[in-house]
Amino acid sequence: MTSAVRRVLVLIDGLHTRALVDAITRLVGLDGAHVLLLHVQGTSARSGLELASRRPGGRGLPPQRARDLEEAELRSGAEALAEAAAAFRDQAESVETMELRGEAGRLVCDTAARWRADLIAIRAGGRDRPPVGPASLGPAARFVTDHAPCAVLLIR
Amino acid sequence: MHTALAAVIFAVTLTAVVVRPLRINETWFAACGGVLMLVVGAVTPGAAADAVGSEWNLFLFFFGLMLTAAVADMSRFFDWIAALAAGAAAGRGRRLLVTVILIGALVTIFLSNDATAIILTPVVYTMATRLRLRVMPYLLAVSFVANSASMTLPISNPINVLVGERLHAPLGEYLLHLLPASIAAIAITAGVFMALFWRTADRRFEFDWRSAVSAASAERSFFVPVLAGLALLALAYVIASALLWPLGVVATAGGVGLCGIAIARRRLSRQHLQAHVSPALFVYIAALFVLIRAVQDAGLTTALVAGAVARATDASTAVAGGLLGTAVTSNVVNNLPAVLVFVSGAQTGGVAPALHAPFLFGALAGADLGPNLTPVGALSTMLWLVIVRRRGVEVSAWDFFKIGVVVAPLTLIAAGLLIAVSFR
Repeated sequence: MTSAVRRVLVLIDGLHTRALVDAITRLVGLDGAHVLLLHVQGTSARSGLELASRRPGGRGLPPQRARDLEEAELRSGAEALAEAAAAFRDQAESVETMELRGEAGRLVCDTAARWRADLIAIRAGGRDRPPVGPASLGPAARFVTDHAPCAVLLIR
Repeated sequence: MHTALAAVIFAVTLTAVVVRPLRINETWFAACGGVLMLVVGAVTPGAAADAVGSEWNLFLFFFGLMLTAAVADMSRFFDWIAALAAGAAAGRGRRLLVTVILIGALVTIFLSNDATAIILTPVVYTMATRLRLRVMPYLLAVSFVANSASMTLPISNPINVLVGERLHAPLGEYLLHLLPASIAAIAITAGVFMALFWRTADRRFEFDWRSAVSAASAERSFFVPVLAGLALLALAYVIASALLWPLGVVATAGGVGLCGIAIARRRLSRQHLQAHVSPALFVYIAALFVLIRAVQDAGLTTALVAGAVARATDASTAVAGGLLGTAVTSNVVNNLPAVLVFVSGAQTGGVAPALHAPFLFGALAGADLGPNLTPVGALSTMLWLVIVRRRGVEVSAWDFFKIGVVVAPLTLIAAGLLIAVSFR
């Protein structure tokens, strides 16, 4: 662990927590580091749902369904963060969690700047095995790579 | 003069309906277009009233479907069937993809593609989120199968009712021409999804499905009669299709009966009714009928359809003409106005009487399956998506298009071939 890297922001997707913990521990080391785990409810799937379920005449997502959906998203986000916090707790000095809604890349950069992160750790893409080539970075990783206010660790 | 005016009003109205400037509800544009047709004299008030009034069966069908969907939603039928799908998947993500496609097909076949898109899709989204699976494969699967399974029965898609009115085909004849094509479309959709998401869906999940099923059917005094009512309604649809009874009457009677159950059990929810029953939809459809009547009276639909089937010399080429015509037009505008144009053209002499049935069966399949190419809208939406994607914005609708370019052509080709074979 270098003295410069003391505040690490990790973007959690709820699907690859173990891989993230292993890679960050192996490549950077977290002794004495403060870790902020961030989970973002993206707008992509929700916008897809709204587009798919919309019908002419204004028929769309019934209000009670929208409430069920929000509750499910909040609960799954909280579970993903709790699981990740448990995994990182043994490795780092302190672990905080944060749940946000919006575009992941932008929120990661904004949060990193506000929290004064030394390093952002993020998966290169949402897939289990991000593809090789020009499309190897997902939209969030692409945005963070281009706009991060600090060093970025991309995990493939 | 009237012809040119009607064509311009029609084109501008449909463009506004598709683009929806300022996100204004498309009903307003359709209504304005219909009124404008009356004002300029492109259609007489009598002809407009006749165009709308003669489609009473379709209006009743939509009304019945909305009531049915509202009560089924109140009873938590959709949560119940989704919990069963999760239970049948036995904790495996891939298997869940299959069971989700199966329930999507089942709900579409008996409750229509609208019920699947509007109610089942968010239920599946919520379930996949709770199970902490990737949501998109399941969301996309339900969305695509809602179109792929929608030609199975005459009640699986309101468009089938509309075309069926012109075909006067009893259930046996309907199934002879469309059932193999429908089964093929569902199988192709399932196959494409399994191939594309084989790895992505390979996840395990834990789910107490018995508790979920019990919770969904907890109010047994309401849930059981609704379930029985839905089963009876499905049976009534099949009998009515076989005897060529108006499906709108059956749908409305079924919907009112289900509302009666909800009232008797004191479970009728105004919020559910408001969410599912949309008066604006009736205005939208009525306006479309007026618009179509205007361009029909101007001779435009006949010319268009005559052009589409200019090379049709036998049943196979008529099927291909109808199928391709509505499939392509559905993606340029929307499938309801698309099929209205083609049905109108066929009725007014655009197709030789001998080729009427193959053309209309092809048109029905094209209008049902075609929207899978751009299931989130029309081509203009997709062009917009290309632009925002280039700017790095995450847009899930792009995922729809990437699958649509595989599913839509495959299902259309298979359906076209099977329908053509059915006429030999």
